[in-house]
Amino acid sequence: MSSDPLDEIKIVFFQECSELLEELEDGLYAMRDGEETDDTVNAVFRAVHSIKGGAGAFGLDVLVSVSHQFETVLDKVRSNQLETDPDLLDLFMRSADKLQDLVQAAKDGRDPDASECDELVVALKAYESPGEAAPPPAAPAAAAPDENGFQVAPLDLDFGLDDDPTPAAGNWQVTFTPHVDLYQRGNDCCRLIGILIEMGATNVRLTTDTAPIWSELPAETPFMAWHAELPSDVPEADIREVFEFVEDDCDLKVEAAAAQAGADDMGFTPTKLDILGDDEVEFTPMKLDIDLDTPADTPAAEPEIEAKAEPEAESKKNEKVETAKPVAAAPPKRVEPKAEAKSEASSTIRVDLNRVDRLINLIGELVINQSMLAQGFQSLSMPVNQQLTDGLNDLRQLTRDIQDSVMAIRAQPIKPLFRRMSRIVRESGEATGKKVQLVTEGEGTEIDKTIIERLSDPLTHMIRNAVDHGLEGPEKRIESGKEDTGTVRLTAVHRSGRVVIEVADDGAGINRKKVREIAVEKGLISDDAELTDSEIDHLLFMPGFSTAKEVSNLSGRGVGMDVVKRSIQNLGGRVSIESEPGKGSVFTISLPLTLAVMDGMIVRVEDQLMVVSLSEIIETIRPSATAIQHLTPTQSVILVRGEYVPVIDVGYELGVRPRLTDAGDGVVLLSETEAGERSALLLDGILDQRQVVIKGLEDNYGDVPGVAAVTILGDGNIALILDVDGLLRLSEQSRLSSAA
Amino acid sequence: MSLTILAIDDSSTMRRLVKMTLASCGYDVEVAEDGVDGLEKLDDVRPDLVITDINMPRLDGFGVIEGVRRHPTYNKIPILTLTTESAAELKQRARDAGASGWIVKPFDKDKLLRAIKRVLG
Repeated sequence: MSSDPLDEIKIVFFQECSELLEELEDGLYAMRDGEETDDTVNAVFRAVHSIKGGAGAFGLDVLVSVSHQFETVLDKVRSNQLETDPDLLDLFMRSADKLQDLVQAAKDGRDPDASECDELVVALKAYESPGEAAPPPAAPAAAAPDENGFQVAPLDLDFGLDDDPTPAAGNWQVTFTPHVDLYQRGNDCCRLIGILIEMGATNVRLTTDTAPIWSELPAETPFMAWHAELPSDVPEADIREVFEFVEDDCDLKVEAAAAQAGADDMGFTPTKLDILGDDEVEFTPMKLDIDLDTPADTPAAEPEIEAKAEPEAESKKNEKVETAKPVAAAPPKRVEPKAEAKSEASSTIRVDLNRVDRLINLIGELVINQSMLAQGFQSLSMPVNQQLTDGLNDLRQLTRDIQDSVMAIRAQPIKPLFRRMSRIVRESGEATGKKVQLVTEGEGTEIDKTIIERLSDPLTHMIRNAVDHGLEGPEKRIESGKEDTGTVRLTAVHRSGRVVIEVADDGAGINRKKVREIAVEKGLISDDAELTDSEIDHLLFMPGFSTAKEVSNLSGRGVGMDVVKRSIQNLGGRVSIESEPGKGSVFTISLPLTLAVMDGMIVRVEDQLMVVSLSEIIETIRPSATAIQHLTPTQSVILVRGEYVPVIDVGYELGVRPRLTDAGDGVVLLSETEAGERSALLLDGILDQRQVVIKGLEDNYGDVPGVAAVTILGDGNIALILDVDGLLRLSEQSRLSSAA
Repeated sequence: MSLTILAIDDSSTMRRLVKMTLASCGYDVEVAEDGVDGLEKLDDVRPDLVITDINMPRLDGFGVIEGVRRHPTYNKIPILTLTTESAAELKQRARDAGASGWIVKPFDKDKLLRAIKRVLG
């Protein structure tokens, strides 16, 4: 096979594998949750089976051997020879994990890590009933002719072969007597004999000496025996392989002719055939070729002849029809109830992600174009034309609808990500010796595909932390009056245009005293700093903070929660902590639904237009000239409803203009972080509120502090999208540096 | 006129592999995604041979074999099962249903063609 189309199929295989692995996990979870039905077990079995099939085709031996053993045990479960128990299900889960690893390794072109595989295979083997040896894995190399090796039933019929011509010494003498079933299974002697002739068979003859006289001939029974001679250098296995499919539907004899005198006599003595008067029919290759082109007519295919031929045959035929009838009525029944599934299956298509992204880009252009039109129309200062205004409004609405629909294409349920986390929980539990169960809620919550992908790492880290630092060991849990099994709860929900994901554990909660001590020790806070509980909790997100005294083999991988926080921020998300001593902690991630478009407020700083995400603004304030109080030359606060909020002068922080001296010239946007930390952005003016298309800066400019991205406005101008959190950090830095 | 083969398999990897392999040997190959799909396509495809997977959702390979054997027009065509099992029991079940022969996955081109030749000439 040429390699190119095969590579293409390989890509399909990996795609298919990821779907199959998902089905596999779903099924296993359903089984674990006590929803084990025949359908689930079958689906699980089929998934493993299909993986194995494809793996074999691509020579992925290790994958084949694990999936084979997995499948064997699943088959036992499927056929009710084996009951599942928690241990077995756990083994299944681990096997599924391994399959996933192996598929990934194959995809990356890595050599699979075979060490654990052997262990798994042995563990799985133990579930096979003792004494029954597992069939060897169907490794691709095993395509030897004897793979389906069979024992031929000894032929005890005498076809009068004594009369046969003497074959060359050592040549194979093949005698093949088909049974009627052979034809009923769609096989045909002519084709088999044709193959023998291609292999060099000579002296091919058909004898019919066992046939009764015409009046007693049952029409369905082939009273024929074929004889052929093959050169001795043809391996016997090759000859037998030709008859592989029909071995049970015929009598077959392959034997080497004994060395005899007169071996060169290729003639034969015809034997008498009573009815036809024809002695023997000799088949030459040429004649066979003609036969081969005719359709597979079988002796059983002629009902009229048969009816006339012999009443006995007719009754036999009737019997057959009767037994066939109840079966014949069966297929519509089997098919109908599942017809719905068909329409469901065919209502999805697979689309290349690039095509969707191109569409999304185009929609982005459309949004820009639409706002350009609206703006252009306004600036014309024409008399109000109702039709045109309506048309523009409709266009805006349509653009938004199209955009929502396209975003929905990119949106995917978060379930696969959650399922991946269950593996993390399992592994973390094993590594720390803690008993953990994962509870997931809102698996159907849909979120942008890219966000899901980029969420995997931070979420993995948070889950590991929850198990490693959050949960207590079983003994300690029992001491505190809890169940010995800890629970990590993973929840996803849509809330006001964002997706909120919670990672909650029912562990000991954050040890605030210790956190505080460490923060002081590491110089993150001063000794006498007055911090609220929430502020202490959020110290965990500070760069350079790590509570683990020694690096454990789990969460301590040199990645702190600050990295988690940053990667979530890069997705336009926020993360916060709530913790209650003795009851556990909740980490909340809030994410935008999409990375492509957002609702923003267009603001002005000097002559620059900027955008602040609406979701980050709580309130807009037009301050009086004296509302802002300067604590130091670089630090000022504003009093909002009895609370002092630090003011960030955006124009100054971004280097657009010097500090605003008269607050009355500006406006203030009040913003709040997930942790409840408020800040006031001081700007020069607010223009309007509209949907903007987010264009990343990273590709061209890298990470710009205080700027999240940019957008193109309707008039073609570019506006910076502000990163409020980044601005906060910027202002802290500038304050510290000026203080120093 | 080239011979037409209907390949039924729920794995798209397998469908593609079989199709590619057989098409390169001059057969016309049509594919179906499962047993129900396969039986529905019989009249359209008018196959000279059916190759079917055994483990499939909705209607499995045994169902396909039974369905083909009951078909008014195509009840005599050869049917090969495509299976990863070389287990005798499975083959027996397929034979009982009326299968002509079997191909064990993973297959290579030669193996596939030899099997087809035996039933199709």
